[in-house]
Amino acid sequence: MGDVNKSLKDIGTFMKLPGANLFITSTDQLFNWAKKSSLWPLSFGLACCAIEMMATFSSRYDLDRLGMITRASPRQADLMIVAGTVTVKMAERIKTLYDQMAGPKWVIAAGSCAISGDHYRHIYSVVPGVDWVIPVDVYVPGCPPTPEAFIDGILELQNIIGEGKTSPTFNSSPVPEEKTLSPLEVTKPPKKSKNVIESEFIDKTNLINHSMDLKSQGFTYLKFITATDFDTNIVLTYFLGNNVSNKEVEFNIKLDDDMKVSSLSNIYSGADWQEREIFDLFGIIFEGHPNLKRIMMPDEWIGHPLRKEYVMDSHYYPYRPTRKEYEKWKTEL
Amino acid sequence: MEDRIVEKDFGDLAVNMGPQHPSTHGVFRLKLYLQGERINKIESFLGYLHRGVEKLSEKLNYDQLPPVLERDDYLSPTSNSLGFVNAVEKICDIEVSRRASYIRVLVAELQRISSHLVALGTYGLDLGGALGGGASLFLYCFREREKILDIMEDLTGTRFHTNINQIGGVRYDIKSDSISKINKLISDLKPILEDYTNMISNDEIFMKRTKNIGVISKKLAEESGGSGPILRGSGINFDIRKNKPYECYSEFDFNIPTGQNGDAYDRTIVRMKENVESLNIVQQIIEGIPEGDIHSRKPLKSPKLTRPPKGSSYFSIESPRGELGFFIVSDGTSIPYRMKIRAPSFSNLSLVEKLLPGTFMADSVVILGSLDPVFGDVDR
Amino acid sequence: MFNSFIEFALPIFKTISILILIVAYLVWLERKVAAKMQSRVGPYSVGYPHGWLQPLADALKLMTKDDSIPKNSDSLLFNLGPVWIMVVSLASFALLPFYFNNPMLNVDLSFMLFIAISSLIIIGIFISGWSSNNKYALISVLRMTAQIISYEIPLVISLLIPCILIGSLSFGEIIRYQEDTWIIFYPLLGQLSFIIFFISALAEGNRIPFDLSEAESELISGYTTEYSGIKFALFYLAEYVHLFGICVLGSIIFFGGSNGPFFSSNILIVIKALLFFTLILFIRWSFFRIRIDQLLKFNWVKLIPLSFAGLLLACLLKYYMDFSSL
Repeated sequence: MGDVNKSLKDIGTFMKLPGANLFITSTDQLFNWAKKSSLWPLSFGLACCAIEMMATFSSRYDLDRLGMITRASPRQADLMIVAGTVTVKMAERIKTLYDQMAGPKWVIAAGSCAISGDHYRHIYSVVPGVDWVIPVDVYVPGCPPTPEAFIDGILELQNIIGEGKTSPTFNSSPVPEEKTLSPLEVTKPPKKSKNVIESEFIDKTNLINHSMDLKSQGFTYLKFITATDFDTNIVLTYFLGNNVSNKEVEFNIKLDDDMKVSSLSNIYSGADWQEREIFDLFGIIFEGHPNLKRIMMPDEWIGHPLRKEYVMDSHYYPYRPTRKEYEKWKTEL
Repeated sequence: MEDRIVEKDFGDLAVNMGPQHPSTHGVFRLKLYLQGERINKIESFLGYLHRGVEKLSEKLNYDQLPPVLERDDYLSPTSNSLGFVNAVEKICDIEVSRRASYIRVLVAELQRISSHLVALGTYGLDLGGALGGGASLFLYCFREREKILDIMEDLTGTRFHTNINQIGGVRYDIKSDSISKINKLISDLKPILEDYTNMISNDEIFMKRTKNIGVISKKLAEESGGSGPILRGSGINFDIRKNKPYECYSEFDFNIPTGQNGDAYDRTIVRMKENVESLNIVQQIIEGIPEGDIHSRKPLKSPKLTRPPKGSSYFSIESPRGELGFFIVSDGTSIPYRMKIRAPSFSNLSLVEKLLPGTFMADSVVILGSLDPVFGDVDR
Repeated sequence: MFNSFIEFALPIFKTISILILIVAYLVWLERKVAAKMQSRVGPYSVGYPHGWLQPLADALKLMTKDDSIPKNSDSLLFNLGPVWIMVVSLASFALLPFYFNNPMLNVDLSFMLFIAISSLIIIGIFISGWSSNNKYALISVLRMTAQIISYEIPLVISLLIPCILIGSLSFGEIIRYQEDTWIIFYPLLGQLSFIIFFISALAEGNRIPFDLSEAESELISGYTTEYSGIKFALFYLAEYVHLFGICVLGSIIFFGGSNGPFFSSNILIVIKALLFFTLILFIRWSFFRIRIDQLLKFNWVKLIPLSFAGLLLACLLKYYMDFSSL
């Protein structure tokens, strides 16, 4: 601390010299000009808006005119353009990337997803706006914003930097209560439909043999596997195709309450990820699967989102900070 | 003497690529276990863009869904809504006028070209880096893509989330002066696409980097559910536009380009050749576009919601990335009971786990780029 | 004493400031040429006309940026790396008769000394990548070491061919020899050695298609991944100083140095080096990158045998010529 006090004192004596104020102000202006004239954005894209961002960097709009070149390493970047939907799984990483960037640094939230979550804002896996995670300087609206809007946002940011203002905006909307509802503790169970699928049903124990049969008949192309949550049980639907004779075949399985079925990943290699997805979103256990882990949601997620009893806009936000944590983090920054 | 340090097994060097990485084409995370430059094994993680579209579709009614679905595969948005409206029309048994069908195909084919151009451009970035020849290829591709986006803006008012498909028809009619603009586009693009194909197929470094890299056998491609250029690059002549024609594709004359070896080079060349075929289809559309209504339902003051009968149906179309299908379970209300999107990128990307082990680290980005995944489509 | 100090320091100061100025505008030139090739405009709005203040803005910004040192890194080596690279690449200019009539350090073996000094750069790169505590940086420097050490051989040998033909290892002699004809016009051997030199210079200067250590598509930004602010600026600058050094070397050995068709002046060295640099730019912005094993294979299987063959030919020729003149 002694060093800091001494240097503060030195600055104090320096400021008493004639013209020191003028010198400080003009150097300040010079450095602000330099900062705004060479904003290097991190090459970082999330979703659709990133494509428009790339279009803005490309020949017709050319952000190099304004002195902007992308850097792949966050250490050398000054600007993060958050272009796309921020999911809870990605939010952690965005925070890490922001922390890795060397200051002074700025953030542009581009597109309605990054601003507010847009039409995904009620979804279990989406953070409604990136300003829940990192402070934002400029918001660029649009779905996706046109390149002109991007350039407008960047010019606005340049004005902010040029005037020496810092205006990071934190989200100020009320955070849900600390006591949050688990997605499974729903007061009113939703109404489930009766089974409406009319195609062929086969027995659960017969699955392997049936698919081996079909494979030997030329149905070597696995289209997809999916599940539907009906009132009495979950129905698994398998779709296979034959690329030579141009036919497709569909068959279904009714699941018992133990939610177990044998895996097809040894017969069709594509079933690997398909079954992992169903395990993740429906909680169906595939016996004999080599690597049955969650694929879409984080490993520690609770519940299976595509089950009917899982509420879409549940108040369970694993990575959304509570107001207390949020304020604490804000002061630390 | 102690054992010498060189003889010790240090294990593998685990390198994390992504979710923020210049060449993972979005938010994808690969954990590479390296032995020197060679990849011993990999782990892949996705779901960084999981937006729960399938859950969301259980809250919105059928007429609200097309614009939401367009955000899925964000390089060819129209394919998404085209597949969805076709699936709904199949359950509800709705006829679409021929003019509407022509307009749908026109927009879809134009977007196929723009999507393949982005695929080639970003592939250039993978091969040549953002500070080299790859960047030049990338910018050339985006320059040409802008011309297509101009046409889109002229037709629909937006640059690429066109929102043109509706259940029963299309939202916007084609204007008479647009035809001449599209004609000009075709004459502009034809030599340029040829140029680009020559540019990469005659480039020695490009061939050295992509030939015999990431070879997908016919068997593997089929069993893992690969489709689109992945399947055709491996030599399987399968294209839904030809094999199970939807809309008005049976009226057009076009070829299905295929590769032989199933390596990264073949997949890129197949995409480039497809561009030329798409341009041919566009030419045929504007030459033969019929007159008539663009919507089968008369505009009402308060439009009726679509209520399909009970049942399930699956409909698939050929998106630039492959077979994009919609499996809809309807319980008779105006909201889908369950909707599964058969995403082509998801199945194509699952090949990564089979292809990467044993290759070089530098090849990993080449193979990943040749699969052309779009993460809005993978994670949904 | 003060006067002698000024005498000693003034040329150094002059050379370095002119060099830094040239190199800063090389970056601007590169961005402009790249933009032209990609049908863009390039830097435009920072300084009228055509963004001529862009290098200044970049440098000032990088100076004011935070300096970050990664956790668990070797901070001494981490800080030493960029300084080492900068010092080494500047020091090699002491030997080049680049702006003043005479080089600052006039020795008989100036060519050998130049090569020796400029190969020290790899040590700086290695320590900076190794001490970053970053796996990308580590892979990058391992590639870089293999690449630079193997391409040093054809580079030196291709430069030895003209030296043998001329019969001297001093830059002054080499330039004087080329008053009538430049080495590049020497039948067969001149062109052969120039082609080998050019390819190895691309690898030495870490340019596409050989920029494996900075391969963004795999390694983020190679050994500079963890560097920010002023240290990154040093890397950036040193890379261009090193490359410009190679360009000056090429212009001296192959293009006659200060000799020109109409007049002779040291400014010609700079002009020729700039043209050479532009040629490298054209290559950089139109090629893809090759893989590390292909790169090394190309060197050991093709380039080195070719360069040795050239060297042998030059020796035989020289022996024959000397013998016949007796």
